[in-house]
This record gives sequence, structure tokens and C-alpha cells, in this order.
Amino acid sequence: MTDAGKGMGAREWALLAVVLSALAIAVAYASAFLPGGTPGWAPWLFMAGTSLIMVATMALGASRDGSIGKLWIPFALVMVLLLGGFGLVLALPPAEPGDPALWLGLPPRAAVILYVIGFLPFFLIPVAYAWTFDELTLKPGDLERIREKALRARGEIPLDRREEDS
Amino acid sequence: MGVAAVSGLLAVGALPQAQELPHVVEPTIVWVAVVYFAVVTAIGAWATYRTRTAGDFFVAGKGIGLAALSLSVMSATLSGFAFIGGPGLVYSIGLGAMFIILPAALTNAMGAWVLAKRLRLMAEVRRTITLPDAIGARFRSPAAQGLAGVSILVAVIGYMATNILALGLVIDAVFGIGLGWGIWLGMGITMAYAVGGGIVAGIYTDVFQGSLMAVASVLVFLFTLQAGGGLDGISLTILEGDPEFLGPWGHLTPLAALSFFFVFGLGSLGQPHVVHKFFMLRDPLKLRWYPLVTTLALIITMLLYFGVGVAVKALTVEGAMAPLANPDNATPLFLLNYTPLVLAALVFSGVAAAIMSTVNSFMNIGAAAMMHDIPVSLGKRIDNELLWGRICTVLISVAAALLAQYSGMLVAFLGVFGWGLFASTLVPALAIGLNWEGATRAGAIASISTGLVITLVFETMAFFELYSFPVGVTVAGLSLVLSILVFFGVSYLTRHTAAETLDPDIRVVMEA
Repeated sequence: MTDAGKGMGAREWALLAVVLSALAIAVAYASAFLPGGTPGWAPWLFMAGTSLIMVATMALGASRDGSIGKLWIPFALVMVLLLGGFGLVLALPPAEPGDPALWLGLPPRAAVILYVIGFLPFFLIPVAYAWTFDELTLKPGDLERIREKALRARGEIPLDRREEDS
Repeated sequence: MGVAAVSGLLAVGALPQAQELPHVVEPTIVWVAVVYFAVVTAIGAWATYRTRTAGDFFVAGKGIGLAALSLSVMSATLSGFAFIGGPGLVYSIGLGAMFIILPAALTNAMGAWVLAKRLRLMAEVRRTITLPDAIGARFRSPAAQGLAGVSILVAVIGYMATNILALGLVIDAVFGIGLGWGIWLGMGITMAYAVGGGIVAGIYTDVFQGSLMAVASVLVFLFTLQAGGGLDGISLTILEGDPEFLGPWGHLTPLAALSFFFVFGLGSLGQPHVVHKFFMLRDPLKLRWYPLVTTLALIITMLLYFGVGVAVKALTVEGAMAPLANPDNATPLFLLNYTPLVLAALVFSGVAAAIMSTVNSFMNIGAAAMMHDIPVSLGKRIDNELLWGRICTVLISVAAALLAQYSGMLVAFLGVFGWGLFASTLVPALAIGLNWEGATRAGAIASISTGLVITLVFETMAFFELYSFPVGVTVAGLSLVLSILVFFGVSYLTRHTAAETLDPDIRVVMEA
């Protein structure tokens, strides 16, 4: 996945993570076919796989010149939120009957699902996209530069530019 | 609802509802619906005037702004399911239904990073107008383009048939004209503006109805809190009668709920009616705010999905409402009993318009697959793409409406394919393929074929009760993960061909 002699860049790490997480999800699914039914570790494996594949896919798309720049911070935070949130929910026992403890109007485990996993990433990921847009996505002038570079690569240099080149 | 049945609900985006809704024929509701349809028709007429070329018809002349992109993506993602099928699903299976929308905070940014920039640049460099076009250009492969086109066409017809059936049910509930007339009236109006205005009509009706959906959702959510005694009151009532409902997975198993998260999270990268819109943005620099605006709009609009589902559950637990025989009645019954009639009217019209806009998007991408992608894969290029785009739109629409009206159970069967088929056939080749130079043509063709075959074979076997997967395993999830692994595996085995399947200009786009 990388040129010989070069270290792995962000894109190669992201690809490796996508492959490993897809394998984890496949193994978790396969475990449900075992004679005794889904084993207890399968949801943990699936949770880890699905959290990793989402973050790794974002990193794959975001990487530019082998780097994701400052994005490692929001990506790491989201990974912690997903793994921590799902892990907490899997590990915590169900609420005792008659225990009406509510977090922001919901039982604790439901609150973790909706607020931590569902809502908190909103303040990280879309904001991080806007924050790093110039550095990692597009900045003014990129569109023209890329269009011209692509045309040159195809051997179709615009006529006006050919004259300049000659 | 059993977990096995939930597997089929992975096509929820296509299944706003499939059972009869209570009739709500009231003068206020009828008049609001008439005004609503008149506005949609007017937008369609304006869009028809603006549509002069195939580029206008299929990619809105690459001329839409950020607000139009965000609202149309939000509307196309949710459809009528957000207001009818979704709350019904929450009422049935509790918090487990939230896993369908739980990845929303991530999916729009993921789509922007992985696809938006590269698809938009590809449209600039190669003038691509469809997703199979992009796959064909990426892998220098008419076969991959054709296979992707076939997958889209199969799923589109199923999606459209189920949506048109749902539209017929909603129109019948509002106007009381019977299901058959409801199907053809709804399909006729949609087809009229889709044939004339193409995707331009779809985009701007999405903007109109998406804005109303967001406003209506916030208002209905406030009424659900009022009816249930606040979120605390709703939770305490439900915990007394059905504590598992508010457990982290609701009435699902952990594996099934997490499977929703996976399929609706990663699978969002393969939904052509959403992703296709990236071709259309006028100024790609506006993408900066796309994830923030779209995600905010989605979260606001999903308030109704959650609010009505839990409020109706609480009301039935405390005996204020009778338990629902048909969960899809949760929203209609709540609106009729707990909100002002004008708001109920807005939501009913909004549901019809939402379904119509989704159908419009499907008509457009289905027509593109039929008259552009499949012929190109066979080495033929149609001369007058605008004319043939319109003709194919009519053909697909009539076929879907006939299926909806006459096929009985077959329509539900076709609807099951939707989301999962798109995800498993398009995510590897498109989302990973556009970001990995090591991907090969053979890998793309093998992964698209894997998604197509696994989805069709196992959904067919499950539908006819010949075989079904164990609890927690969904066909959509399994076919998605296997198609990803096949993509990597075959690309690795054929890695010596990677360079020859990547044109230099496409490499520039991928490295940008």
C-alpha cells in the first residue's frame, strides 16, 4: 500500500485501519452463526470495528500529501467518544427497577447513546471540517489549478496556456 | 416487532409506511395540501423553464448553492420516513430505532471528506454526471460503470415502487380518494415536474419541503414534550411500563443495533440520491460549511422522529392512548389528538411532498442509469440525452407505479433491497476507490458483483422464508462488509494492474 522505502503516511494507516475494522465486523457477524448463538465478545468486537471504520474512513478521505494535519485531534476525540460511549453502555448494568435516576431526561445508558455518541460528535467533526478546510480540502484558486493540472496530465493543455508555455 | 423483521427495515428510507393510514379528511388539511401541491407544481414549472440541457437535467448545470445542497441532501436522506415510519419504529422497538439516525453527526462530514471534493473535481475535469460515470472514469472500466448502473436501476425501481405506494397511502388518507387514485395522482404530479424540470425541480422542491419539515419538526417536538410532561415525565412513565424500551438497544440485541449504526453510517457513502448532489454545487469552496449546515438541519428535523415515538409510547403506557395496532399510526394519531389542525395539516402535506421529492431524485438517477450508464458500458452513447432522459423518466415512473399498485407483496420485497444494495455495491468502488490509488478494476468489479449477488440472493431467501440469518445479522450489513473485504482482497491480488487502471488526470483529482 506504500512505496518501498517510504514510511506509512496517514492514508496508508487509514487504509490498514479500514481493512482491520472490516475484518473485525466480519468476524463479529460470523460469530452469530456459531451453534451457541452470538458470544458475549461479539458486540464488543463489532463496536470496536464499527467505531474504527467510521473514523478511519474519514481520515482516508481527509488525508492530503500523506497527512491529516490537526485533524488527528478531533478524530482521536471522536474515537474516544465512540469507544468510550459504546463500551460504557455495554459494561454498565441495567438500571435497577424503581431507580429513576435520569441524565438530561433519560436513563443513564440511553443518555450516553443519544448525547455522547449521537450528539457530541456534532460539535467536533463538522466544525473540524470547516476549521481545516483551507489546509486539507480546498482554498481559493485550487479549482483552477487542479483543472489545469489534470488537463496537462491528460495532454490537453488549454490553448492560451500552450502559447505561454512555448 | 421481532428482530428478524427489523432486518427488512434496513430499507426504511424506502418504506415510509406500507399499511393503510387513518383517514384525516378535514377541510383545513385538504386545503393546506392543495396549496402545498400548487407550490410544488409552480416550482416544477419554473424548473422546466430553466432546464435546457442534459447537464441541467441531471446535475442542475452545476449551479446550486450551499443552502440548496444542504436542504436537498437533508430531505433526500430523510424522506417521509422521518415523519411516519421512523416514529412508528421508535414506538415499536424503542431506543434501538435511534441507531439508524445516530451516525448523523458523522456522516455528512465523512461524505464531504471522502467524496464531495473529489466528485465535484471529477465533474470539472471529466464532465461526469452520474456516480457510475465516476466509477467508470476512476477504473477506466465501462464494465464497472455498467454494473454500478444496473445495481442502481434495480434498487431505484424497488425504492420508487415502495415510495409511490406510500405516497398513495398518504394522499388517500388526506383526500379520501382511494389507494389507486392516490398512487397515480401522486406519481402524476411528481412525474410532471420531474420530466420537465429534472433534478432542478427535485432540488428546489426539496428546499421548500425541507424547510417546512424542519419547522414542523421543532413545533411537533414541543407538543410531544407538553403531552408527555417533559422528557423526564416521558421517561419515568415508560420506565414503569416497559423499562427495556429505554435501554440502550431498545428491544433489539446489541449486535442488531450496532449493525444499524454501521450500515446507516458507512452505508451513507453509497446512497446515490444523496451523493449525486455533490456534482451540482456551483462553488466548491462553499463545501466548507456543508457538513455543519446539513447536520444541523438533520438533527432539528429528527426531533419529531424521536419525540413522537417516545411520547406516543408514554401515552399508551399511561392509558391516554390505546396501544397501536399499526405503529405507522403513531404520528397521524398524535397529530390529530395533540396538536393544532394547521400543524397536523403541514406535517401531512410535508410527508407527501417529502416522498415526492425522494421519488423525483430516484426518477432522475434511474433515468441516468438507463439512458447513460448502461448504454455507455455497452459502447453506445445516446445523442439527445435530454430527450431520452425525459423518456426514461416516464418509463421508470410508470413501471414503478404499476408495481406499486398491482404487485402486492412484491413491492415490499423490492423495497427491502434499497439502502443495503446501494451501500454494498457503491461504497467500496466509489468511496474507497476514489481515495486509494492501489485499488484495481478487478477489485471494483468483484466488490460490486459481491454486493449485488449477496443482497439479491439472501434478501430473496429471507423474503420467501427459505433461509434467514441469525438474530442480529442483517443482509445489508453482511453484504457491505463482505464487499469491502472482497474489494481489498481482489485489489491486492491484482495489484500489478493498479497503475494501468488510473488515468493521470484522475490521479490528479485523487491527490488534490
